[in-house]
Amino acid sequence: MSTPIPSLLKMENVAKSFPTPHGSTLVLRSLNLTIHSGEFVAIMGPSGSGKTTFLNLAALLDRPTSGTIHFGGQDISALNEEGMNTLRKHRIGMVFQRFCLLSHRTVLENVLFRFRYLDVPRPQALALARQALEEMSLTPHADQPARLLSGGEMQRTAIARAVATPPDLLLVDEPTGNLDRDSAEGVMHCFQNLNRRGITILLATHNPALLKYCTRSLTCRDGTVTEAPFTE
Amino acid sequence: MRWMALIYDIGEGTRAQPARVGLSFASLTIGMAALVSLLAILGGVRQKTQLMISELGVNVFGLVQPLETSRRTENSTLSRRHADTLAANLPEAIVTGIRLDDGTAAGLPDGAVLAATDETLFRVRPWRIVQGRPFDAADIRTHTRYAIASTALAQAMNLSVGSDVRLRNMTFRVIGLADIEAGTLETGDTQHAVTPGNRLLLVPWSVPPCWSVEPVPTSTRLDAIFIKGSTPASFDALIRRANSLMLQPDTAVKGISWVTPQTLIHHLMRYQRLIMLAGGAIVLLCLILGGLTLTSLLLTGVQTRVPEIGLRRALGASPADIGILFMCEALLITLSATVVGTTGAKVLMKIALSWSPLPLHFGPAVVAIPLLSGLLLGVFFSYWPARAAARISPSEALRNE
Repeated sequence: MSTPIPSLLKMENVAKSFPTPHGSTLVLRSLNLTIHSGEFVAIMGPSGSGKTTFLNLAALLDRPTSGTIHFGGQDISALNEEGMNTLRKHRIGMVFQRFCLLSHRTVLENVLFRFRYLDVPRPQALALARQALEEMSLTPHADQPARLLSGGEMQRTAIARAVATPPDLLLVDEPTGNLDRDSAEGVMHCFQNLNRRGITILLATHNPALLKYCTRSLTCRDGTVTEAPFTE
Repeated sequence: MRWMALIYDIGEGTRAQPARVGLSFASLTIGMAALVSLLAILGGVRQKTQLMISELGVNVFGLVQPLETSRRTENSTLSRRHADTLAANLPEAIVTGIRLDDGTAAGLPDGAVLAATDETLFRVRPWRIVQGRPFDAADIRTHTRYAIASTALAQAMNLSVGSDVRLRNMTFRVIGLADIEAGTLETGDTQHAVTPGNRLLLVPWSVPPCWSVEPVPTSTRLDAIFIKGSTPASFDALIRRANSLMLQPDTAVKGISWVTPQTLIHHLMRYQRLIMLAGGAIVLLCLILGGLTLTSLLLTGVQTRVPEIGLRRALGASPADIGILFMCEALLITLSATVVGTTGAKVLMKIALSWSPLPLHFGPAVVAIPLLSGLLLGVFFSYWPARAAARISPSEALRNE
């Protein structure tokens, strides 16, 4: 008898709307979804379909207008702002389309920034940051200012920052949107390796070419998320 | 580690906008320097007044006639006669008189003052005989050519008790050395008579060369009369009685100034009001201008650093962490401006002191008040930008990424 895979993120009847001058706009509706530990899930959809809103909810950066979200079995609606922060900084990593690096700081300092709000002793943080840079083949660039890196190197720096202390869930928003094909492939291989090491990845993209790296794909369209593969 | 990281973040945050930070820093530094100067001058005026009150003596007040008004007629000049009248009618008080003469003309070194006085001077004024003895009644009565030198003058002229000093070709024997304070607060024409300076040579009032005729008439001019009361309780009554005596037809003198602790405090208040009004307005304007520049810097910083704020929130920063970061950046600027402004003002005022004798006092308040002001300015002018930064939604901030 096989052990059931535990669910990491579970959304039940989740809806999210935003207030606008012309009334409330519903961006996500009746979202029912479970993401299990170890999965590499792609969420596909055109611009404006609600992918980023979905990622923000998954990253605990936002709360749903209705419905419940469970993270690691914990109902986040029961958590206050501080509880959400704690959960986010310890268990969630994020990689952004435009890297979100601190351009005037060095590559190593950018990776060390992962520990800025964690109580990790400096020597240990330094060792973990250097290890993450090594895994992303960025050690030679450690002392370079981040602004001098190529797009692919910047994205790998952002990944190193996200995984310097391995998260349970890595949320990735359009990671190859600003990269050429070779760099994109390199970055996606990094994600694949991280997933093989047990990190659950939720990737938002509108590029179908990235599906081959994932173990599961979802489609986001008109505020709903379905298991159906994405079609243009 | 989090404190170290915060300090590093603050440094990075301010380094990212050097021009704006520099502008804000400069305007706050000017404001702080102005504040320090104002406090130092106010402290100096207060200290000088206290010094002058203590120099005047405990329970002592004075009648001073400025030089130009004393050169009128015999009847309108403050003289030995007035000192005698006051002494006769105020038996519980000790009365002394002093007349100043140009020491340099009499043969003393530059800046030295020659003063003719009586045997009661050292019982009234707080000056202290450190060696030898003061004049006694016999010295005055017998017109003995004795002198008492201030320690500063004695040092300058290499005098000691028993030395001789030549004044207008006459020899005077030094019988005592006295500690005499230097002049203090500028109190108009009365200053010189109250505080003749620390290079002073005293001779009996009855002895030439201050007076060229013998016997010395009681109409001989005095620059000041000092009266010491016996108890603090009767001090005000004593002043009133002295005032009443000086208004009698046979003793009335025009143009005399009454120097009492109250008049000195009144001078202080007048100086303080003037300085507070003129200097305070400038300081306030400088600090408000600096504060507004700081607010502008921080507001721009919040706008340009929205993605960074989003990243920090994604990495676990709370809204309070974000607010504190911006507030600490402001405090770094205001406190470093305070340190530089205070140091700069101190250096500049020390230089200015060598050019002119400004009344300055660098007490603990000159450091404490600017520091407290810097702290309050930093908190006050960064509150709204910090609040705005803390309120940015992380999801919105990352959307702007």
